[in-house]
Amino acid sequence: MITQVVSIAVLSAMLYMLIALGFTLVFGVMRIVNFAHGEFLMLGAYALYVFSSVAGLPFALALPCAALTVGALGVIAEQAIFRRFTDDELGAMIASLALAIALQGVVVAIFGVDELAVERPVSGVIKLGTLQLPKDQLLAATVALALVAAVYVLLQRSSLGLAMRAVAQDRDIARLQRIRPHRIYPIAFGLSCALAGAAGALIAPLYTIEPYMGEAPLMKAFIVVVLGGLGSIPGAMIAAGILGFVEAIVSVAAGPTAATLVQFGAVLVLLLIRPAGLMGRA
Amino acid sequence: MSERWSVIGAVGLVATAALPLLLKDAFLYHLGILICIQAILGVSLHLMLRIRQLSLAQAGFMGIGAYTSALLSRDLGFAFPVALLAAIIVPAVIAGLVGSIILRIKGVYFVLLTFALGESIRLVFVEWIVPFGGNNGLTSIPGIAVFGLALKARSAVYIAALVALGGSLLAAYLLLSRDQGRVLSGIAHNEMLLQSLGTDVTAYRRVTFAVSAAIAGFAGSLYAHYLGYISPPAFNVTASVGALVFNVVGGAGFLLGPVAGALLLVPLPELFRDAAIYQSLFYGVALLLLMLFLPRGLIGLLVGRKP
Repeated sequence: MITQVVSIAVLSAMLYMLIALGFTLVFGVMRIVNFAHGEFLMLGAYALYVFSSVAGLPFALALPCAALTVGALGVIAEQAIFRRFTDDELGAMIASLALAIALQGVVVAIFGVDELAVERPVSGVIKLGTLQLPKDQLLAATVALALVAAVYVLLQRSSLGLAMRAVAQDRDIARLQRIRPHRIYPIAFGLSCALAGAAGALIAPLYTIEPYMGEAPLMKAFIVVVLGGLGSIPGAMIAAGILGFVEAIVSVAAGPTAATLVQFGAVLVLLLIRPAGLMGRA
Repeated sequence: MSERWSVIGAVGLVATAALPLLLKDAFLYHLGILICIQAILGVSLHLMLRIRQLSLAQAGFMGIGAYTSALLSRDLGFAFPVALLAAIIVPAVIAGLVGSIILRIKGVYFVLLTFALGESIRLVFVEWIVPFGGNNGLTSIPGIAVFGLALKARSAVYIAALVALGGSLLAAYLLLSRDQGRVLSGIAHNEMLLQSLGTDVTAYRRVTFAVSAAIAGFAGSLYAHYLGYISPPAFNVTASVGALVFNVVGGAGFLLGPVAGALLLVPLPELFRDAAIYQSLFYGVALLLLMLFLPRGLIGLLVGRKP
């Protein structure tokens, strides 16, 4: 029982990390709270549906295609919309809410509101002693972890990552180092959307897909990112781990609604004590 | 210039408001009542926008008002005016208490906090089946009654809704005018300066938050007693976002902005039932275009000057 709870917790923590990573990256670099992040995840799921179920590509090919498609859409969204709201937090928020509604609308108009199913790439379970791990969830968690690790390396070890971190820390000083923030924004936003798209594509075979599937993961991303501190990537990692465990334990003990209430309660309390989150800066 | 436009605007609003009464169409009455209720919620959110603290908990406060009013009148047998009064006071008190803590937090974090608060309120309605009825909500809520006289005719309910909207606008206007209003616009523009002058800025914020919650609760009570049925989804964060959309579309810098927005947007889903599938697409794209090309909203376009 306990080991089963732990395994569920670890699996969901990995996915939360992936979703929250893109969300917090955009906030860190562009100071934009992207309410449409969940919709980019939803687009990833639909893109996977198109690539694998409609076009018939194998999952291993459909997954990167879906992520790249959503990343490209993210770059377009940044160029067309978000670059005008760089210093306007409230305006950017409202614009992203509008984008979220519009993207849901597009998907409803094309695919309808009915749930669609995507075939699972793998099935069955792996048995480790008494522990039973569904293979499909294990695959999703592994890919999620690999992506998070890759982005972390990109941010820490590459010059592009260095430039992104510099813009996140201080845009003007970064500009003095010949980094052009307006070159960095579309990259950061596209990367964030690609990560959301990958998360959506990973979730798609586990559940059914529908136009409003992005709302619940967005909520999780919020909680993770606020707990960890907006813009802080290590904070998001830790918070995703904590959230996964708390959620698994409380929902086994008292049901999923109680788990969500506990999470919101934790966010409210933490924000009051440390408004910038566990590892964020004000 | 601007005076002429405000006269034209006022005449237009009065004419629009009188339209259902002249045509005596049941569907128009229904639309008019819905527009009034949604516009009141829009006005409630408008007050928070004026101090540049976007609150996504407003629909939650509307829900608190709706449930308070419904439970008091249906289960405890209180008269409608008493229930209505409670629906105004309870959210205001809650907002006042919560506000003294959360209003210290600004910007994005405040939005996220109120997002969490709004969702928590909704989850409480979902989770505590006694007394809130869970996902099924509450049914057979008694109708609106004034001085023991039930308003049966649609026209009477419509007039009551118009009066309610007028009252909410008056309350908001009083809050935004005179010294109080000057402090509030000061909070939006240069809070540091106000603090250096010895103004207790947080107290003003708290009053604004409480009044906005009271107005939202008022809208909730009308909603509950008009429809006779309430359930949690009506009070989720999406509903708060809807109220935000009214403000953006109508013009967030003007008190009548949310009214204009509600007037334009509430009928849309009702009129385009057949095109329901394109509704949210139209909604989202329209809002995006407005944000990009008409940031001061429709009234801003008409008035043609900075508010």
